[in-house]
Amino acid sequence: MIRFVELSKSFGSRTILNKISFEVRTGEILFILGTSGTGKSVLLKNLVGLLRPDSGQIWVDDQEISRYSEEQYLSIRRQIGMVFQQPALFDSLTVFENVAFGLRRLEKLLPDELSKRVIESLQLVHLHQLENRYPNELSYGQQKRVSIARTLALKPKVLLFDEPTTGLDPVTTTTVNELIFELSQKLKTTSIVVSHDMKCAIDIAHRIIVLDKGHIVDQGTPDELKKSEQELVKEFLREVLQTSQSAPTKEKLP
Amino acid sequence: MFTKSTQQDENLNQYEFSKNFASLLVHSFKELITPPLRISEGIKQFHFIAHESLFVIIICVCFAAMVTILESSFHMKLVIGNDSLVPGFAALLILRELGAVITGLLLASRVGAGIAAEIATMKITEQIDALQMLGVRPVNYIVVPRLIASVFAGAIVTILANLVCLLTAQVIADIYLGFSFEMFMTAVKRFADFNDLFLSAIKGASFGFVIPLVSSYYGFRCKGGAEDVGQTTTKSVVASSIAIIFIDFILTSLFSQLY
Repeated sequence: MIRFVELSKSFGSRTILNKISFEVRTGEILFILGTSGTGKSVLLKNLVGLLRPDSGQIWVDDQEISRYSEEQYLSIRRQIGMVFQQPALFDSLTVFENVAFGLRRLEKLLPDELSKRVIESLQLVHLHQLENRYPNELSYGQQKRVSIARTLALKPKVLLFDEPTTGLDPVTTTTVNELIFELSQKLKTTSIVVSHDMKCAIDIAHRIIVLDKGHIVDQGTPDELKKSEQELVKEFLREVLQTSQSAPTKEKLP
Repeated sequence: MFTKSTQQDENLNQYEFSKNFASLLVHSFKELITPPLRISEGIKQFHFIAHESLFVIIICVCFAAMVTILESSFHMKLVIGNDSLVPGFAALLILRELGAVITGLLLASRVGAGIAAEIATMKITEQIDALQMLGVRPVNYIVVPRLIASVFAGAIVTILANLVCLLTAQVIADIYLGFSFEMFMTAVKRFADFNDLFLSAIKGASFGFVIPLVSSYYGFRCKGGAEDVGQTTTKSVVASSIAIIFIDFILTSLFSQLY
């Protein structure tokens, strides 16, 4: 289980997170929604030590990790994998090498084992035919999926997705959302998804947290949020309604 | 040059090593002696810095040598009535200043700009975050191979630039001023010695040390988009060039005790 306790983070005079507290239950898909600049990505980066909080605590199981050194964070990053907003693939490496990158450094695998793990990871994101291509030979959606495969290769217990569908077309967005759900079911991972896509959150989240101006304005299951009286939540829901009226009907995920 | 502004404070103080230049310097020294050393990447970087920069540097120092010889001759004739001291004077100027400084400035604009743009792009596309998530220390992975390669390349390219510069000076002195090879070399030997070439290589190595550090510093602090990458690159070239001129002054002051 992951717990954030009164977490605060500012950049200069700008307060991004203001005493945020919530927990993430093992095995669930938690969506963190909010408009741009509300500190959703900052929250994820604090969890994996890419940013450090100004105050507050972050608990992973029974360890308080917010004051960990860079070396100590290595073990946390083995348990928690992060898929970034951008694919963040290394341009000079092939898809295979990108996915193998972390494995080579963090696990002492024989070449056969390494190859097997890479192919398995690529199969999970349905991209096992493209391992010899370079990132610039792939579509943006495929690059995103390679990025997910690179994270999956290290078999993390927790997956963090930072705006996984930003910049994707509607069809690829659906594919990536389905993938997040599928991975959660297959691998039994805990997933935290930062997004501003309420439609996707309603489709696949177990719980949703809505952030605004550094505060949690509402949280609950998708059904609970549908009854929310919070103006921001209502606005998100109105957008979902408009989208579903204008867009072709999509099957709701199981 | 390396002070923090409010904007920079907001620039995600996320990498301890990029908080200020001194932190990056200390961090880089620590990483220099911490494995793994990426030798193959170091060799690749050496090829990029030394081999691929050599042609441009040679062209520039050749013209600098031509100007030095002709200008020295013109002014000496004006002041003392003859130009017999031109070969020795030009050799000193080339070995003690021109060869190293021109090489340093050209490396700053070519290599420094490349390093700053590369790191800045990696930063804004979250590749540096990804490296950290995959258990890689960014300074060890990105800065150290470039730093080692640049120090060696700086020294070696400076020596080559000095030798080509001297050779060009000799050819021009022969063609325009009538100094034969023997006359030129005799005059050079009277004014300059191997020590000058060695100290020039130390200057080149020092410039080679500062260029990747300054460029990496700016690269790591980049945020935003393509426009910011451009600005980062410009800032890094300007800062590297100023640093080179400043270090040249310090080293020249120190070396003047040894000449």
